[in-house]
Amino acid sequence: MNVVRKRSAASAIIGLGESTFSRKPDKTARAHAVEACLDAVSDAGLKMAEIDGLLLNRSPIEASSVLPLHLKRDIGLGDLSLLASVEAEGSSAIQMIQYAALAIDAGMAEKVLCVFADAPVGATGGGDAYSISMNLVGLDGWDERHGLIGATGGFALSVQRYFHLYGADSNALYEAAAADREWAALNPKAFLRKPLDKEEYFASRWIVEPLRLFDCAYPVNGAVAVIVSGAESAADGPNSPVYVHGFGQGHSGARNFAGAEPEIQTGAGIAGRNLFGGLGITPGACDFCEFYNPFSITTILALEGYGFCKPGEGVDFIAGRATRPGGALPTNTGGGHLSSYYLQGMTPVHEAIVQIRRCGGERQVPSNNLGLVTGFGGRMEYHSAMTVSPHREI
Amino acid sequence: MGSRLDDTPTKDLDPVVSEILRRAEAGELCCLSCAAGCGATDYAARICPSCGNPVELRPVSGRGRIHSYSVFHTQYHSKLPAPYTVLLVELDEGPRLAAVFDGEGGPPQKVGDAVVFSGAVNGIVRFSMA
Repeated sequence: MNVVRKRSAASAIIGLGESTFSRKPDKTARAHAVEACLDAVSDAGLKMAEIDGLLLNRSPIEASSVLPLHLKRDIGLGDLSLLASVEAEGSSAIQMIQYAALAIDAGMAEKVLCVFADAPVGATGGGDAYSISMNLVGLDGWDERHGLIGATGGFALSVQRYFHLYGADSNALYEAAAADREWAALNPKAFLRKPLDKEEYFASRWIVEPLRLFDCAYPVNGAVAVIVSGAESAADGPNSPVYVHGFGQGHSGARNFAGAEPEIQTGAGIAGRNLFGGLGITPGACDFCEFYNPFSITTILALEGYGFCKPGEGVDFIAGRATRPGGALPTNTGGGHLSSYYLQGMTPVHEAIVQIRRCGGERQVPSNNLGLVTGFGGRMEYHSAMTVSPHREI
Repeated sequence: MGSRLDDTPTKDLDPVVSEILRRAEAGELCCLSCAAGCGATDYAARICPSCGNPVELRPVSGRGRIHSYSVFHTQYHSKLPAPYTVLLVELDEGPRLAAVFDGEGGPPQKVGDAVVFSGAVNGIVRFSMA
């Protein structure tokens, strides 16, 4: 059980840094990482010498040389007591924060820098970088051979299955994408800010039917870094601490076999039970959600998987405007992966920190006492989640 | 994306995969099954998920139903001109397998429809409406 059973937070995020995000080929992931790390240390009011732990996360489709342990030399770090690269796809960002918190609690380190960096946007755009196999069937090379290519291919199967089970159609996906875009319009750093009308959505090209262009994440080159500290000293810095009370991981054992529904029943349910069960709270305690949402369908599946809606009811929940600005459960408040930017697990983490610090400007959620942040890898197979709060005690 | 998938030599495949393809091209579709008799497993199993014994190849009926499907509008390799439909077939024996839909000119497929193994050429397994 990956659970911190405490209602008084043991750790907090005290620094947030980012590089300049770009939709054009520019710097390497490593150069973006350096920028974000320096920015995070400065944001936390620390000196580099005070950082004694470094955790790295690169895109799962990149080689380890893209973001090597030598990053520690690039940013002028000295002796460290914690150093590792975390590789659990899109669930890695929250896993890094969890491992940092656990290491701090165990006395291994005091201030841990966690960074994700990626530069998927090349000369031909950003989408091609993700045309990889998800190996859903479980036979090496089989999926590619049969043309089942990319995360989009895998999630298209999830959408079709969802449509079949619950009678939904493309309008459900449109509503999810349009809700995120409405938030993005309020986020100066989002890349796609023009409201998404129905006509434009339905006119956008198929990527893998039933997923259209506007159902898919908007990749950028960039990096985000955070600094994790023990809660005791978290308030010493210039920022209001972002306290983390609980973590939950969940990695689905569902197989591609009769009776299992891996398209719909994902690691979210397991991570949610571990997180909320560990804290002794229900999903209803959350004021807002920042989901890992590289495809429109994943917000629907996350709302259901984490227990905000019953299976099949996420569509009406979103269509009823609950997740939009002014709704009962503000969700993906920066515009999420679809409309703000896709930097894997760090997109939701970044936005959650902004909301807890009350730096959201026009998109600031009215109540920010407790937020849910999630990350996933595979086709929602690997999940990590955490709560964030401005209060040390909840 | 170009044609980087075009010339993948079969000999570089995992031996289990190349054997499944070899037999499929000879007209016999196989699944993985527990050697100790627990029955069919999913294709990702390398030991029986129930008892931990090895798995082996066993012929299946070739009949199944569409668990899900998607239509690809981009061409990734020369043997599969776009658009093409990928089926996730649930075999009657239980395991689910991705296959290309062999349904030119026929009615559109939907989830739950009965399909049948219609052969394999160039390492691509196809299913058609039953």
